[in-house]
Amino acid sequence: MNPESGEHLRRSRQQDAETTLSTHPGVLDAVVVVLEDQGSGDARLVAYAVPDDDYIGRVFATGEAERKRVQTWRKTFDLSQFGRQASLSKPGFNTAGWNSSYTRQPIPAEPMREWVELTVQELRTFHPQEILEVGCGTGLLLLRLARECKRYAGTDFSSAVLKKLRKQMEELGEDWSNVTLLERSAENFEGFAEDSFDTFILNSVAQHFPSLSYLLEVIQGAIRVVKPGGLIFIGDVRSLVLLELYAGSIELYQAPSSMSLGELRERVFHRIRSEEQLVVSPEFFLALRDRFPKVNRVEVHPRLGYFDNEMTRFRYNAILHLDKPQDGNLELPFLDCSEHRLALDSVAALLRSNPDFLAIKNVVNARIENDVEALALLARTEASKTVGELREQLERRLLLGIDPQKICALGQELGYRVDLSWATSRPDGGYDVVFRKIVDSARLVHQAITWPQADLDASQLARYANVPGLAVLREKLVQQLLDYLRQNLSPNKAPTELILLDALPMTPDGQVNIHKLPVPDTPTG
Amino acid sequence: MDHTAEVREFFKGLLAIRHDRQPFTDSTSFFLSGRLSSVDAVELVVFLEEKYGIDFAEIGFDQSQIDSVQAIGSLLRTVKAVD
Repeated sequence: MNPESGEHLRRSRQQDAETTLSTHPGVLDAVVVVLEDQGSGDARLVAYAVPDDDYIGRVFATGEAERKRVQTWRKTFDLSQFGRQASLSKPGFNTAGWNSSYTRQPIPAEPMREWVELTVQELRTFHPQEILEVGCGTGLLLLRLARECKRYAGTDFSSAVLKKLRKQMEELGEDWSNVTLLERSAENFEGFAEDSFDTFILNSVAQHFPSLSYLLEVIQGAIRVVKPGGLIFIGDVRSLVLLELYAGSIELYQAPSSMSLGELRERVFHRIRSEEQLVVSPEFFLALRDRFPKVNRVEVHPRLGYFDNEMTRFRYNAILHLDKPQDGNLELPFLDCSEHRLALDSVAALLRSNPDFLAIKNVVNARIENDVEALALLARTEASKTVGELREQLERRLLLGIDPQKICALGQELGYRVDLSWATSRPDGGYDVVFRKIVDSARLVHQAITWPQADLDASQLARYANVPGLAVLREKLVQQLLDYLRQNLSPNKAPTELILLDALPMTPDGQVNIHKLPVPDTPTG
Repeated sequence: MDHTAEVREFFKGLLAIRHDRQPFTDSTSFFLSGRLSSVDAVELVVFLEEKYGIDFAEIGFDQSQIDSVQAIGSLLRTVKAVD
């Protein structure tokens, strides 16, 4: 056989396959190579594609797949109530199923108690009277707030969870006649009249939703049933802008000192790709103002608490105010914390001069400062170095951040209402803070602050969330792409193997570096 | 196929979906070690309920019961009196 014509044929097969693959809407970039088996000399076409995760979300995470994920989470919550922890819990404090991502063990009672009490305290500042809580779970909020309300409707999709909640209500033996419990999934608003609640609560629930569009559907339902002047409280949301920091933080905590940084890096990527929960950027909630005219004010702030855990590091609360009478927007000049190198002591000194207001932006977040540095070191340190060496470097670092809880406590001690914001969605978890002298505390709750914020695009909401279960959904795309290649190419031109990559490896002069492409384990097809 | 082999196969399937080609033994921890997720645990629970009629609502549930092939073997022997 003429080697030139053989080579020509091979190139033409490669190019045809590559062109065909590139036309598929789920593919952002593609390359096809011929691999030769060293023993037999047989050649086979292998395709590499960079998938469009938005496409995967749109095509594979809807319909039946979405229903299946809801059922899976329902079962997870059912199971959480069949264990010892649930049986031994005291009425009013059933936290079964709350496990730490760091230790994989149940989160101890005290941090959980703080988490509950701070959430209740924040909700109480709005004096809710008619509450709808979707995903009320074992009643951590309901059992504390219902006594103070005229009406409290709680829904949950897990029958086992609701059974435990009813049992607790019996054990507590109070009058719960203002409480209605309904077993149903979150998007079901049947029977709830328009403008019939003043407060809608979705606390630590959104992460179990199958997709951003499902969350959007629930928010649309909430907007319909909450009356003007009311609010939608979406609490304990996992932040997408901090997902990489979270993954790095967990993997570094769990890694043995002897592990190479190359392996740690791979584990961080793997954790991000395998994320099963819905993780949402604060920008999503801020963009809802453009989507729904009834939403006229949105606040997002990091979760507070003295305990250092994944909730106080990587989660936030989003509060959507509906048709809220505005008491004038407070426009304040913000001091840049990094520029002025402000530490907690210097903030205290500024407040002691007794200003009516003090606004500071870009405060380095002490909670995750170490995680930010760890990730930066991980990116720039040789892969052969070890986790132990990375930890030693981190220990030598001088930390400059201010703990969000401590800055709040400082302001409160000096007679200020303190509000924090994550509206800028900084990937290092930096936050902005406003101190307002307390003259009339009720007025301060209603006064909107104009916070610095990131540019938003309400037409592209999908970019503000991940696709839960992406690793498994990507497998579906692989099958679809192989079918697509078979349908559009003659049998000898269609690659029989396809590997998805986050990006194609490139040479310094911008060509695909085929030597760095992963080699499939075994020939198939 | 006996129940141990069936359970091994099931774990193999869960790992394959996640491109996990590391070997495992009957005592390998899957869930408590974080190798598989809570979503995978649910898949396994449904399999055990459907295949062997185990009712976790009745017997109680703890991830350690299903954490390895060995643990499941012991669970099946206790609950279903299999060999």
